[in-house]
Amino acid sequence: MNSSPDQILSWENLIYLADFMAASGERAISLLGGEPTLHPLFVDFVLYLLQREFRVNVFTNGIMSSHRLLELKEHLGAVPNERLSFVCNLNNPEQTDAPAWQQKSVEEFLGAMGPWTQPGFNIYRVDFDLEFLFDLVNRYGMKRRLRLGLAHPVPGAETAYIKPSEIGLAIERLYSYRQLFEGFQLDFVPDCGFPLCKFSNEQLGWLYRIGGVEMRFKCSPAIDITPDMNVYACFPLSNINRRSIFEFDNMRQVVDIFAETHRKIRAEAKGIYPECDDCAQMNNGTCSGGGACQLLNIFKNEASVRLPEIESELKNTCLPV
Amino acid sequence: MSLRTLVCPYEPELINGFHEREIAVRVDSPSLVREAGNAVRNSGNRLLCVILDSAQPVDAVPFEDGWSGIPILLTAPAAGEFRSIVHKLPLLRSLNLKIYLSSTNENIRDARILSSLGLSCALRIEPGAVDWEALSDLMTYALCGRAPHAPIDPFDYISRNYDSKVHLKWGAVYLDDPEKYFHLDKEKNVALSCKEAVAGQFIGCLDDIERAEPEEIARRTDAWSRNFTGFSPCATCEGFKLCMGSLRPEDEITEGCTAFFSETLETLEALYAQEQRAGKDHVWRL
Repeated sequence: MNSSPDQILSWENLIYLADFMAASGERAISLLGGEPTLHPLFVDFVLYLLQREFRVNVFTNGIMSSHRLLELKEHLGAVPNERLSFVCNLNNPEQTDAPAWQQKSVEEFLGAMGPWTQPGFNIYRVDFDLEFLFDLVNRYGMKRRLRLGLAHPVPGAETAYIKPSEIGLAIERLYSYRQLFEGFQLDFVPDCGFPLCKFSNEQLGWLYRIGGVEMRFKCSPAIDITPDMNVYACFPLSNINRRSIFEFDNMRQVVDIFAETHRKIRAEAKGIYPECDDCAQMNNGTCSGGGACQLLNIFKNEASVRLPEIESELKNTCLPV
Repeated sequence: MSLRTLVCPYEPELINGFHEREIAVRVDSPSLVREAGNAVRNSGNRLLCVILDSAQPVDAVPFEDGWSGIPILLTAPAAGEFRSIVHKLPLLRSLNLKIYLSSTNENIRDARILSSLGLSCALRIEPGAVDWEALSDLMTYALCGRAPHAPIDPFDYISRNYDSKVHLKWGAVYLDDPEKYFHLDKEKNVALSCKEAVAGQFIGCLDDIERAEPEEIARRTDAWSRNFTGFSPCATCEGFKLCMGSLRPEDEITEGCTAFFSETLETLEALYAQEQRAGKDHVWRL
């Protein structure tokens, strides 16, 4: 069996994590990146986790070498799609400057693994165009549930994201595609950080009708683990309260630690809008009032009057205050 | 003198010459596994196991459904490609199989992979260039891993037989224990270890030896005591209780093995203390 270089996940750490998850009663593992399919042992790791009876979900951009694609087809092509699934983050080729070969590679991936793949789309600009996506879903027989994410700020990093003031516009834009969603029988699940109040009642009714009951307006620790066994709440909060997985006995402890971090952040301000303070949905737990990362991003330009650990983390992120 | 288990090459005539002995029969071809196992069972002897010495890695061994029910000790140079093994896992798990690998870094890692997937393994630890730190990690996994996994020897054997008051020999894991095993060639010449049998280093003929046990056996059994005459670094090693000088390196640099066996002892003590604290289960009743 092959070895893996130090900077990427090793067999030993994979086994440790599989044991850790199994001992915590978890039965599903998501592989994220970077781009997880670039790992030289990607196929072996997926096969291993399947043998350990985990459901495996892989987040990919779908861009991979023909050799890797061949491996996927050969070794994973017979795995039932309820045990292995991909989320392929798709970008509109007309709105990005991605070269043609990348688009071709994505389509080759979808051609091979379409039925295993859920389309994913990150809204990072309010004039996004979704039309290309419906065609891809249809053409490649992808799963008919879109994972729709809002691009979030990473406090301290220069990234494109949707500002709190733009979320309503993004939802309006999304709603303008309702006929296509219905016509192609594609539903979607909003990912973390969508505030409920930015949807009108009509939009919420539409969401319910196409997506059933799986509507979430929450932000809670997703728990990401890095190849060097660090753990953090989620990618946008990767600089906040980063710990080693070896400090914990089970996943419950990890979730508790980062839930506490969230709580501390929200002790400063309940949500990303001033009206969150008196919001009934916020108070009854239906909505989190936007992402904790958006909140931290708001804090960064304010005077340093917060809890010492939050101020210290904000300083660590070298924010341009 | 107690009758030793005999480790023999697969020679029907040789095996049929024994009666009510325990026999481990050695073959070098997968096609002979079933035949050799049946030959021992049909000869009026007890089958300990069939030893398959494979020149190929585990993934290239053509395992068969027909091997179920036969205890198999497979020695292989390496595990091979994981993706090839994975397709054979259901069959491998259904067999009474233990995989023996040498202690290269790759094999140390692969033993953990195989064990975590439910396949019993053993690592042959020999004096020389061993990555003691990696071995120590594996020992921790083997003895303290929280998720269910198959045994990894010699750690499993050591933990099952450890007694803090006495020294522990664990050569039996490899059938290398002159008090329990004789390795024969087809002429019934006896060697005291597998390696010596391969090298043709025999101490005599089985019939003669069983009639009057030669001193060589006692000398070999008590070899550990020679560490206390002269200047052996093993004599003052805190891990001696587990190693008994058997892994004394030629260059006498013992930092690695000392740390490894000390850590193993600490782990065993911790496990023992944990067991004591837990107490014995009592039958619950009103």
